[in-house]
Amino acid sequence: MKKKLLSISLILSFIIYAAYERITGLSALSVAINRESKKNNVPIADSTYIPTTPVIQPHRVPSEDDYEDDDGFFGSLFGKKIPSPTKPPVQTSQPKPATPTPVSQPTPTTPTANPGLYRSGEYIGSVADAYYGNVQVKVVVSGGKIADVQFLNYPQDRNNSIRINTYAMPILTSEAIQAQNANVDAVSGATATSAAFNESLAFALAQAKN
Amino acid sequence: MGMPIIVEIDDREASSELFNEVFSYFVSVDEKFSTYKETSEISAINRGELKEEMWSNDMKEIFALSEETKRLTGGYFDIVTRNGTYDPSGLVKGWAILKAANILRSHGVKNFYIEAGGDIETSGKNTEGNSWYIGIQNPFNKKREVVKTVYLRNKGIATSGTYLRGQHIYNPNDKNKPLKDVLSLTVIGPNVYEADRFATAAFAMENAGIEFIERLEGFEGYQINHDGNAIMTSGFANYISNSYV
Repeated sequence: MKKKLLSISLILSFIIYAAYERITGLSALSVAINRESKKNNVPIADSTYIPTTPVIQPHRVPSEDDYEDDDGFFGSLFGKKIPSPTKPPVQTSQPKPATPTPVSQPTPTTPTANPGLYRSGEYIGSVADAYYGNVQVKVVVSGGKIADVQFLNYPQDRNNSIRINTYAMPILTSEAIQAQNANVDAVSGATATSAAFNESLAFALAQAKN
Repeated sequence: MGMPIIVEIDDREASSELFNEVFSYFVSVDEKFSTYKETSEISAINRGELKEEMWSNDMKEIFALSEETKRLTGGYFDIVTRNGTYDPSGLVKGWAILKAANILRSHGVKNFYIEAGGDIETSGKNTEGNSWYIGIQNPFNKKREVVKTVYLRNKGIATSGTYLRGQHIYNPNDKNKPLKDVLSLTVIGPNVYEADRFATAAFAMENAGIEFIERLEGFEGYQINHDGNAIMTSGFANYISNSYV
């Protein structure tokens, strides 16, 4: 009797188990693991479930202000994207505020006692090496400050009219520039002019300092 | 000259002899047209030592092209400097790259690009079989950083500009007023010579430069202003996506 009961219960339990396995479609091993993980580490089991309700991400339609807000872009451009140089380049052009000496007439021949100030006058930089027309700058110093930097080499003749398709109205679009991590083949830029500009300006400023 | 020149050839025909031929061509151009070499032909002309009938054919060609460019740009392009000497360097670079490209083409090379100091002639496809993927330099940054990309095939691209970023030069009377609105102007044209000469001239036109490029048939432009905004011509967007593949 005991043997029969035991065998029946054994068969029953086997049938139940087989049915359970069929329904769940899981192997005994995975069920065991699943149970264990559910028991011991509920958050892991929970995290595997994808919520049925879609998560609505906050979506913002860009407005006109985004493109017109120069200050905002400017701030981010200089504050974040472009690292500021380690030494402040402003210093070459910044005056010592203690002795403001506005001079109306250029007096470049008079030596100045204060070495931190640029002497007033007009200084022309060297013609620096650039393929795009040589870069040469003129620096106007007034009251120890750089009042103006002019390009001497670029054609300044603005009175002539452009003769190509002047009837066509230009259709131009604008965008804020953004730095990209693009794996490009080559880069187009005016680096030669940049270096030449720096060179010529530095020469002019060297003259302005005593 | 200190100007970097990059030649990339993606054909089997590429050989060291081919590269050497291209590079020695650039050296010969520099020796003829560099205004910083006393021994150059242009320096001799500027010293009044060479009469016009003694000029080389290249020199005559450059002067003729300069004259034509001056006419096409309403006087904005001029190789005569303020002190009366000639400086054709605004034309010579693009011209030399195009000539170097033609050297490669004469050897049957189809897929390559040549870059000299930021001006590029593209031909055929790159290594991946796509159009050449070219970036436009961020004029606010001295380091290599791209702010716009274009796909080019058998086109030239040139950028003219003054990169003031890092100098912090401003008008002390109005610190918010930039000295120059336009920092850089990039021009895409049928070849690098055309792109270069019109980029140079249009940049001299300052704010009107991009409108000039807009009116030039077969040319597109991308102008970057001091306020961090860019203005592009109506057809520039055609180069932003890789439509060839």
